[in-house]
Amino acid sequence: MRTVLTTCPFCGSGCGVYLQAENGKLVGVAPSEHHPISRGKLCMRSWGAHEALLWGERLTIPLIRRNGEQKQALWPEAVGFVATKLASLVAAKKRVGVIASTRDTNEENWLAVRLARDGLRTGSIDFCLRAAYHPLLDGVGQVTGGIPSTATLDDVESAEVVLLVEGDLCTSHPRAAFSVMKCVERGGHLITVGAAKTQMGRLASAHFSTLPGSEGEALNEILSQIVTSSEAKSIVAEKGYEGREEIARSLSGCSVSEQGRAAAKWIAGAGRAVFVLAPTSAPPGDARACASGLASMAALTGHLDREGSGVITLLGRSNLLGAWELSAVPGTRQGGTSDGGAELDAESMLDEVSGLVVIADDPPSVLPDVKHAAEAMSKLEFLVVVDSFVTETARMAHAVLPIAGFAETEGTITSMDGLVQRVRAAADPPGKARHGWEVLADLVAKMSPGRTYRSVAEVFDEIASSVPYYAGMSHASLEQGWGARGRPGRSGSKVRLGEAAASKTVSPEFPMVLALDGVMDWGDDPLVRHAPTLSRDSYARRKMFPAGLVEVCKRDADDLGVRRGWKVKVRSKFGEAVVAVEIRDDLAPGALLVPYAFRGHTAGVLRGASAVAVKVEST
Amino acid sequence: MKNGEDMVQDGAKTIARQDVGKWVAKLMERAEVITPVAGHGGDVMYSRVSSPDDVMFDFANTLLPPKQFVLPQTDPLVRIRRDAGGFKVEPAYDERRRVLFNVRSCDARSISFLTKMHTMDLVDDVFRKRAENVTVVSLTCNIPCPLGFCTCTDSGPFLKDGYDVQLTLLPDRILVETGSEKGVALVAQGGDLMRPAAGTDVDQRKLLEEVARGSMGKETCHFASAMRRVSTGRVEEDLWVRMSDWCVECGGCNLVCPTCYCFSVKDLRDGDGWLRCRTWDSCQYAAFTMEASGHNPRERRKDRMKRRFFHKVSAQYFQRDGMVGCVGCGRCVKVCLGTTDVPAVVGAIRKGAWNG
Repeated sequence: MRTVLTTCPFCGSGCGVYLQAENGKLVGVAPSEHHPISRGKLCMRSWGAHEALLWGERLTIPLIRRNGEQKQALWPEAVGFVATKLASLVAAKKRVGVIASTRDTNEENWLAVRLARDGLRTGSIDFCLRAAYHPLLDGVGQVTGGIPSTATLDDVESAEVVLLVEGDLCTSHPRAAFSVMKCVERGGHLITVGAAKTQMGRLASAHFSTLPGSEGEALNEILSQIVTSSEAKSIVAEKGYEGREEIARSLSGCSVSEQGRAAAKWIAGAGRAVFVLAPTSAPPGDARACASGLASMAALTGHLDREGSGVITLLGRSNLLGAWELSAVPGTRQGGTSDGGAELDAESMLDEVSGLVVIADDPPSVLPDVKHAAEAMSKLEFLVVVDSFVTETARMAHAVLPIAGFAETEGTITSMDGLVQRVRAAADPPGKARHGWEVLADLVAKMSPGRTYRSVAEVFDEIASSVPYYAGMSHASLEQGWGARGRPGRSGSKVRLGEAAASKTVSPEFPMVLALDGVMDWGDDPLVRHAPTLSRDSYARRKMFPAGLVEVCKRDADDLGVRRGWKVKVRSKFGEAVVAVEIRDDLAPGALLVPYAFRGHTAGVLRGASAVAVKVEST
Repeated sequence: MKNGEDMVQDGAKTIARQDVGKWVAKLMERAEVITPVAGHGGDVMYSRVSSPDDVMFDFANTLLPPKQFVLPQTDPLVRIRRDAGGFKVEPAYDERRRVLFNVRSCDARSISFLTKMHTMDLVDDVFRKRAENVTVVSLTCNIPCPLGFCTCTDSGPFLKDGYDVQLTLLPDRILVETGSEKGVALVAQGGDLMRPAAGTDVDQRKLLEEVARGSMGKETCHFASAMRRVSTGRVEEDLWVRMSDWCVECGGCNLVCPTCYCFSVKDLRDGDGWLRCRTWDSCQYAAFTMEASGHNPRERRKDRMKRRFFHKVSAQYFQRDGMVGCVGCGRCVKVCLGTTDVPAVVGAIRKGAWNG
């Protein structure tokens, strides 16, 4: 049996996990006792990390679509076909784009960026989850100088106060939930803000119940207490932060509950406090403001750059930060030779490009508008899929280039707290599948003659010499120990504080709020969908609710006179839908949450918004 | 058991430290020798050794128990092939001869427990064939591990039975005791390297056991009083409710537990046929008990926790199995992604209070 240490492919926490393989095939996983992040612990998903690659429907042979049918091809033929076709689209001045991935390695994403910027000479490169996280990264970054997390999970564990804006931390980031529990066990004050009083909320000293997307209201309540304190004024004077007066002015009329005063007092009085932020149902503008408001709260209480204190942005996917930092985002942030033309995001790319390269992702299962994504993709003139799993996207592709899964390849990923770690191969790629970096390097070489990479380490060397955060790192140096952190450089000179925001949505006509649950829904992710143990819950739920579902609290269900599985009519100013209800004990009254996997059934009610005021009636 | 009297066998042998490699080399001629080896950055894990030099005697116990060598995480049970007019099904036996070398006392005890569980009623042939070909060489714990509580479960730091061979590190040599026919055969492979143990060797072993028992860490687990409460329905429902908020359902406690054997069955594509595999599962996962109708008899986590501890510590199972479902290894304390490890929950049941 071969046992190989790698980095967990699920959330952004960056846990270490051993993969076990026999005769080139995965057979199981094992925890790593000394790994600095996981410290011997694994969540349910990590424990099933080997399953999807073993049981999943894998892409094993290059495919080229001929006369409407995907036919097997040899590698040189397939790569040549893709390169020639892409080149002809570029030559014809047609738009092309690349969708990179948060489940890919840094090396694969780097080559994806090179393919887009240098090979295809376009700024249209993106990853599907960016839209959900950009507001958070941007809002926090406004205050921290571009750093998504200034604290670690260990800081959470030893903090005196933790303020958590969450969806459901135990589900989205179990390892982070552990740190919070340890903090509470030690006597720390946990303050939770959210539409659901989840497990974390039940352990909290104070829970601020809000409507989905209105988390900013609770944050502003606390912030209004803090912003006018003499301590905040002296911190602002000392550090030169900007924007305090504006916040104080706009929050001057904010009504504050007893709980809000208590929370403000705990935060201000704590020696160490950590502010943890997860995506919510807030629209992008509010989400961004919420993020900057939270980080401002840390700044105004002196916790922004204090040892053991800080802000943590919870990232949902293992290499989301890597994709962000390596500029797999529209436009040019670093390097590259964009033609200055199109700089489309993932969603617009589907509509506006003629040729699209999708790497290790399945846009219809990740983007908010399922139906639109699938339809738009089916109309593409030329769709290339580079992936390990058979997805809807792969089925539509004109060319499929099969690559190794996370447990079959070498590279690095960057966890949400900035730890750059190795991904190592424990098993062999199936069939004719090759390493993703090799396939992408081949494409880059074809599109940009002279640009060759002989090894995955060489790709990383180029990252290290191009992206400041990775300076000085190499595969060889990461091989020892547990990875490395770069030195995050502050961008921008002045810290600009901001208040949180929450658009008022409800009205007498539409008294409740229907919102897309901000909690990362793993049900559609190939690593869960193809894993027998991990997929059971989501399969069962889909089977139980084939016509969609919304979650409501018991009280609202009683008021509506409905029980689990009964249908209600949900109506917004955009449209209406009839869906079944699922009762949740922990949800705030007035809130209806739509799990991400079920978003298609209420698309007409939401019409692209993440939260909308609705009227609900029993049918 | 305070007194080590009558626990050292008459036929005990000794082997010099420097000769162990030669013995292991002989074992390697006939079997895969699997032993704790150094992993990444101080981690220790079981692995097949390619050289006798890889065998360690000074190590903290592995985080993943050697359970997988009798009950693999992905365990092929039967091969299914298409046949003229139907399917051909044949058992997938794994009859590799393996020696698990330097297995800690708790883990050796767990393997005999698992063997009992899989052979006592309906015999599980796949398990039996694999286990029959595994010989367990246990290593007593002169210095008990900090989180272990094996004295509470009668599974260490020294064993009186349940091993094939038991080694004890004496100051200048190794005491070799045998506990089964397989063990005797394994020791015989050592030939002249094995010498009859002297009375002083036996005395030293008794002394070491006493010292080890006396130095057990602070972790204790009062199973008897917890068992009384669990078995007589004297655990408040609210206690389970409150405790279940401190569990994130990672399943780690089950998966690293040397005595847990919950499983699922799933067919794995294998060439043009299938391998029907038994896979490790956790009774703490919501979907574990879900029925095909969608109904889940243990939908709430507190009910699953309750079920787990009923199985682990109730009198009903103690009477049937002869032991609690725990060997006191302390692994669940290390892997718990919440605060509901076995000592914590057993303590809470006993006291009727949860202070999490």
